[in-house]
Amino acid sequence: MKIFLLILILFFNSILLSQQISYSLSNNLRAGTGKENFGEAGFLGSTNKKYFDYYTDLKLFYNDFSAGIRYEYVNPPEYSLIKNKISRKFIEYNNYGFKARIGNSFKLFERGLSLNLFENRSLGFDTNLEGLNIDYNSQTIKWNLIWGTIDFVEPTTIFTDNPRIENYLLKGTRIEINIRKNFSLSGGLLFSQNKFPQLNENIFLESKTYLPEVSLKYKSTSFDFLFNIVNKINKENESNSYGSGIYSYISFIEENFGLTLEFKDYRFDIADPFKELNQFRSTRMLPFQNPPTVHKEHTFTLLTRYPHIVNFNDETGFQLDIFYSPNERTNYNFNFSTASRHFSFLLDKTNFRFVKNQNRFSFFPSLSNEFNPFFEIYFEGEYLLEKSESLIKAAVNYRSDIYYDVVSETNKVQPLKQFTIPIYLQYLFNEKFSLKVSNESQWILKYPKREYFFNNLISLQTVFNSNLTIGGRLEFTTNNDEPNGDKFWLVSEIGYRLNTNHIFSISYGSERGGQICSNGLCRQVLPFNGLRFSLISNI
Amino acid sequence: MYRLFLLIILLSTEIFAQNSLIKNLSAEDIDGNLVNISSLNDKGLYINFWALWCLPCRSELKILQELFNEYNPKGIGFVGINIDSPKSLSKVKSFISTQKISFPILLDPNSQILNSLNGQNIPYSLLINQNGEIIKIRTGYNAGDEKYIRKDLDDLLLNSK
Repeated sequence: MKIFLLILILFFNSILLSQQISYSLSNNLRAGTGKENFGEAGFLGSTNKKYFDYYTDLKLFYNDFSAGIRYEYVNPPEYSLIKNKISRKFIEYNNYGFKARIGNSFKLFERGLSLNLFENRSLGFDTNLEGLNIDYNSQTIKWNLIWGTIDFVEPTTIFTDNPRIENYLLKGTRIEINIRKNFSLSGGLLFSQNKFPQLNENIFLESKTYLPEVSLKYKSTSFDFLFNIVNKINKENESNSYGSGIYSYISFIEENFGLTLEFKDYRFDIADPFKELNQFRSTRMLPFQNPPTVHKEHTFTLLTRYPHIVNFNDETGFQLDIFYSPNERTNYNFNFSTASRHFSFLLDKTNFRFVKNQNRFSFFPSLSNEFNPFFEIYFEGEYLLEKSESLIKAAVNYRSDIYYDVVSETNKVQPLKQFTIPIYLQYLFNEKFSLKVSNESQWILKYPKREYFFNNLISLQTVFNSNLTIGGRLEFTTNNDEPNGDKFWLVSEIGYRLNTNHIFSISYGSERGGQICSNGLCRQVLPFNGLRFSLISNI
Repeated sequence: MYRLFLLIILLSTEIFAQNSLIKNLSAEDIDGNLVNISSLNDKGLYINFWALWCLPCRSELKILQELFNEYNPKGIGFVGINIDSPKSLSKVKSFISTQKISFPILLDPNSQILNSLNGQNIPYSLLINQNGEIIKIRTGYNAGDEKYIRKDLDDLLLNSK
């Protein structure tokens, strides 16, 4: 670390002398103070919550070289470990298609079946790679090489006394060749040496994972196609385990019409309910893999609250998405997605073991309850009013997600059903004043409840001179089991943008919280009552 | 001690620093062609980062199409860089086609370009002059911003040779 910084300093110094350096600087500060509520009816609690989360990214550019560092100060954290350190650093050479970086970086191989590294701060998820990252890109060949380590902090253990940190040494390469006009073929191999901490801090379970990958791609103006398959071979002691993943899509595009059909078949670690209880098992899909979820990514708040959580170890499904614009002012979007497990399990009570039962057409999702079926239908219409920045948008969504509890005697089928109607209006009165209003109404049936309850969210934002935003969010529910027994939440917000590149915002009030998810990763955000502040700037 | 030394160096860097430069950045467009971003720059270039899940981004795209029609003949290039991750990436082309966006759209599914330009939130836009220097950074988009973007583009044209 110290040697690396010394080299970095010398590098900057030598360049500074010539004064030909350019730079880019960004700051991100978030802070809050208030109370957080936890628990459910009968087991309620409240705790003081304060957080201070700051980081700054500095990047320097000199001819074909660039270098960067990130300094982070997080104490107390909102959802991460305490930090006061330089958490990122790199030096990069980039010249007409060839790029080599030493230090921290992220990487994506094709659609992420074998490798998709990213950071999501709100989830406490970070798979940045420290090591070597090389790319070569031309019109006919794309080549990637990575070699480095990931120290992955398991997000669900962040606030425990002993956060779980898994260590991966990754070595991987991938090549993509344009074999004919519009056609390309690619192949890659990722190898990982894994160290998983055990209950005793000094003992690690070691394993090796091989992820060979092949894909075939066709792209033209009106038709796209991709088929991507990866195998997973896991070696632990003397035993091997195997898994696989397939992702494919076709897309037809016309002038006013676009249709995309996606398919997934993820079998990275088929496990019975007993084995599944160990969510950190070494054979699972590993955190550096993040394939497409193949269901709709929503923009409305209530639709993001209880999402389908993809079981990457055992799930098949597809998604149909259509955009249609009959005229310049009207846009429609239709989306249908469905998924299920490949296998169901029956409990053999005599021998106390699980018997595996395969879905008859295992490539396609089943709607039988034993296979944890999921489906969602979404339809959205948007109409642009006369002024081009004014619009009205309305949608309707129905989602059904069944969890089948094979062990339960009386309640095997545990549903989560949601029906949601969001409406959004944006109106530009004149150049100095605009308004954004949205209303989201939602009816939910969530096990163990037997009846639907109702959620409603109203949001109002007034914008002055396109720089000052004043608004608020009001939410209420008929659910009797909210933490702290609350049924009503109100937050007021003020935001100001200074010089187009500094955004300051402050909010005060109570927030309902809920589940937030990204790419199949989720965490529960607890209800919060208090003050939040943020400042984002780019120089 | 070495941290203090580093801090001093960084502070001095700011003093000496000039405008940021865009160089050697390239990405695939929605048809799979590799595009060097600086090749789109004539008298200036407006770079806009967006994603399908971002409502303000979608509003800004419509405005940018109008500005593209007006300013591209005068020599200013426009490029949209989509940062949708693999979960929504396959729908981008379909969306772009129905919205009749005619300026180039590049794909940055791992946010590598966004990160290299220090973007944190989207929409995030950069205005580049003909020397490749960043002369304006815009974070976020509100209805009414069109007037300010237009003014920035007019200023850029006035100052270009």
